[in-house]
Amino acid sequence: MPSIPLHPRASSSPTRVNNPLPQLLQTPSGLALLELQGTINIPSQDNNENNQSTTSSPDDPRDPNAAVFETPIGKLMFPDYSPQFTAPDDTKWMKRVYLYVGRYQRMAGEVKKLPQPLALVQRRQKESGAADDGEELEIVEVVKYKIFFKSRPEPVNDI
Amino acid sequence: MSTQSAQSILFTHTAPQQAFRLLELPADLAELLSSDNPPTLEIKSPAPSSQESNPTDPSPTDTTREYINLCTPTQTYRIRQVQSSNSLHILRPSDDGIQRGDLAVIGAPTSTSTEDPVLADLNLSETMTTIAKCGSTLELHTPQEGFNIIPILEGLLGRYDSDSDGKSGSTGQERLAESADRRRIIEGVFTDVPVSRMQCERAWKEVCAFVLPDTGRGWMPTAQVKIGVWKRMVEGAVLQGIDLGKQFLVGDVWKSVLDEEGEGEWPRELFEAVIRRVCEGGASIDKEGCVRWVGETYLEAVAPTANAAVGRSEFLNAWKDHLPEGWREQAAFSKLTVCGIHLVSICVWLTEDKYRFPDPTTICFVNDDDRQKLKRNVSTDASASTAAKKTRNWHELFKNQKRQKR
Repeated sequence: MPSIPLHPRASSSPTRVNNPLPQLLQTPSGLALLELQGTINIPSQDNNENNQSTTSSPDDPRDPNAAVFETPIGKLMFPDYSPQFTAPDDTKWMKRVYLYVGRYQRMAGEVKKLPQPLALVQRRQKESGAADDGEELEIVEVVKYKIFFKSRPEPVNDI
Repeated sequence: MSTQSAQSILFTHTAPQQAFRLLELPADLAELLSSDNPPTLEIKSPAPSSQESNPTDPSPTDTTREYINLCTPTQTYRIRQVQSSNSLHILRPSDDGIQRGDLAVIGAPTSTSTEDPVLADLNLSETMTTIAKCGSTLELHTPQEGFNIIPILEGLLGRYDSDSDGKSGSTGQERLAESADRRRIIEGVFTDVPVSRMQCERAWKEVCAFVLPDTGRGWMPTAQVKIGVWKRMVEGAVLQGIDLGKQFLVGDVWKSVLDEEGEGEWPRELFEAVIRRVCEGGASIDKEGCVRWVGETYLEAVAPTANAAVGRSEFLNAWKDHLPEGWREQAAFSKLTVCGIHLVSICVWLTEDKYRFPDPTTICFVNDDDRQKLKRNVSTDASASTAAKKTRNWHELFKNQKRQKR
């Protein structure tokens, strides 16, 4: 079996998008990690077409014409974090993160430092026209923190 | 209320999702990757054909089959996939904050009026979206028994023994032109050896492998050939007055092993491979390592199995005879057993039958595979017997399997 190269850096630099996460969770690529117990059930695309906004994402190099759907799930909140007032070495805000799912459910979680950094590995996109000589992988980002929801959702009032 | 004033980030799900793998990075690897100029890593697995065509290892153990390794230029990690009951989502910021169909599900009004105070408060232009979900992570670990790659290398190389004819080496002019070929052949072999570059090169040197560009492939000499080359070198050096204990020119020694017509019994590539093996860098022989190598190689050549065991004193004398005059006293059994990597390299067989063997103790070579087995037997015998008793106990079984892996 041939050896597969794993490139230490991404081939394409990500498009700059304003990153709303607290500074600590921001990475050069903008990618972040969220862990939760259980799964988020997303309705299949067919019966959900009416509810979705359709955009063609310009930063998806795979197929510029492919439709990309974004389905709203909820809201992410860092109640004790303020970009203006939280000092960089202050870690108290990490203890509380909320994820509202739909209108009436809330999960309480925290921001945790990973015991070992995690590399996010993806197949390297080939430039069209380049000879296809086997698979290549790349480390798109190395993340050191995760947003972690270990408890079940609790019911809340509509806020 | 603090939650009201805090920043709200819209959380969405992007379809279609992307494929990601999460790879846990040990501290040393994380450091390497965060360096200024990180190397390209390699993901390698053993070639299936090399396992099948490997005659020395007809029944590969579980640990040697079907694995994937991650290699830095110098190190090798085994990859293990660990399933998680939690789902890990990969998020990225989304700039698509304007036209959203149904925000009602999350409590925002359906009318997307910017004057709406609630919507303004939610600051919904800021969005994180999940683009991938992973149900498992990849862990890296280094097996304690190391990576026994010599059998794999053996399967990829031709066996060069003393009757190998027509595989003559090449002359100086050709050698220059062939160096690219040579490189390409070695690269091809290393691709199928599932460890790091450095470990490949070390193993290549360890087994005295060499390339004959004419044949288009790599070769691995048998112990008989290696010890033959070495013996000839020692004899040639004596004739030419070359002191192998000091610095010498490889070309001088090569000339000393040629016959009157300037013909070598072996290709120069093989000769150089043997020199490389006994010289630990530079142009002088590492005496300690060389003495050990000569002893081991000789033993492998004359007594490869327990059935062919030779008498200890007989062996010791032959060993001494294969060393340069001044080194004879270096040969000692302690040299064979103390050395670092080859912990169980030599097994001394005590035979009861003193009549058949005048010398009560004989000695034979124990190859790498058997060394692994010997080591493993010691540690797993006890656990295997308890497992046999409680085969119905799921946890016990699992525990023992885990222990054997380490």
